[in-house]
Amino acid sequence: MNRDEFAKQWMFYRIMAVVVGTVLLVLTGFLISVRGLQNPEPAFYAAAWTAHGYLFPIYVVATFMLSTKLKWSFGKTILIMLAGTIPFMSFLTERNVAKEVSRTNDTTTGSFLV
Amino acid sequence: MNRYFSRRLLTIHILGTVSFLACLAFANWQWNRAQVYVPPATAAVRTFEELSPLRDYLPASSVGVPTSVTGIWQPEQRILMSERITDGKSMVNPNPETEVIAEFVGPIGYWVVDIMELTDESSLGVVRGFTETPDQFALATGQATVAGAMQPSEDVPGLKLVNNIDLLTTNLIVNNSRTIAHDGYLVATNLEAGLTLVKPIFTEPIAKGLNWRNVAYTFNWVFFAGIVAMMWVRVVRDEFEFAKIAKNNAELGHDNES
Repeated sequence: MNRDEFAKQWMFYRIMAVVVGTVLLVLTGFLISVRGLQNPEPAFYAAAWTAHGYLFPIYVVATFMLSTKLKWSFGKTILIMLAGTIPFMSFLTERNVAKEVSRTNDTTTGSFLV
Repeated sequence: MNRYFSRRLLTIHILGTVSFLACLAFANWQWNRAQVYVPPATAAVRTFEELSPLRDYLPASSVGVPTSVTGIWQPEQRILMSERITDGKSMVNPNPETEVIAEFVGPIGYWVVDIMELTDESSLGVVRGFTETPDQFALATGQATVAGAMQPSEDVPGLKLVNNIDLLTTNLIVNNSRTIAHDGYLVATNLEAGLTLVKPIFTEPIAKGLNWRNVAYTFNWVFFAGIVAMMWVRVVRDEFEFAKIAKNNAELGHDNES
């Protein structure tokens, strides 16, 4: 495991967190429109939820891979994975994880790299 | 405790097994939900002989197809199905796994089912119509030609009626027939005096199809199961790696905690 490999996994996690967060946010907007305001379903609605169903497990993989590198506890890993199912939450966790990564880098450069 | 058989490793295996099986169970659930009945385009008129083979089940493709049949009424073998309404579709329980008590809209009465003996001496159950007062009028007897559509026996798998009403089954028709009876029954579309037309349960042939959305969810869960398996393997591998490192450290006299 080298620094580049960690950087790749870190970037993979960030991209997935933002993608899953954005898709979920957009779909939540449509969910409120369809279920709450009784508007008709847009054509892409069902397909978009299905797509989210496939993006989320990829986010889970990204989180898991990062968790093994940052030595997160089991509970923390599960919570960060579940953050991908709550609108806005994946953005917040991504920011918190970013802080954790930069803190680790600042204090003990490369110490988390096995 | 031995690191290779630790409580931690046991917990990982239990969690891994439960999560993996849960994902497969969810995949199976979605796969079952994906099996739906998709009505194809309305079928053209076909002869009764084509649609309803004797000594065989009524083919799903024959259901609801317009046809006509000639035979002799057997009024002494009449069957009255009670607690029914004119609209067959409204009697169907949309969720067959649960019992449903429905408040019917419109009059509640009887389906008048007569046995007709066909030219080949086989018997056919015919729903002649709906009435609230079955004793107050006489229906035509003798030879007749009836137009209508075949319906499956109401005890076919997947079909459940609301309110626990008595089912119009092939068994019931067989028990009331003198000769060998056809599977299913015919719902007449000719209107007879005193009767109201019955709208059959199935108006189009039953064709089995798949709901692509649930198929996608099925593979979604299989995908999840794969991810769970991958995480499980990695966590166990890490455990063994740590155990090996700890063992080496111990042999070298190092402190494991540092």
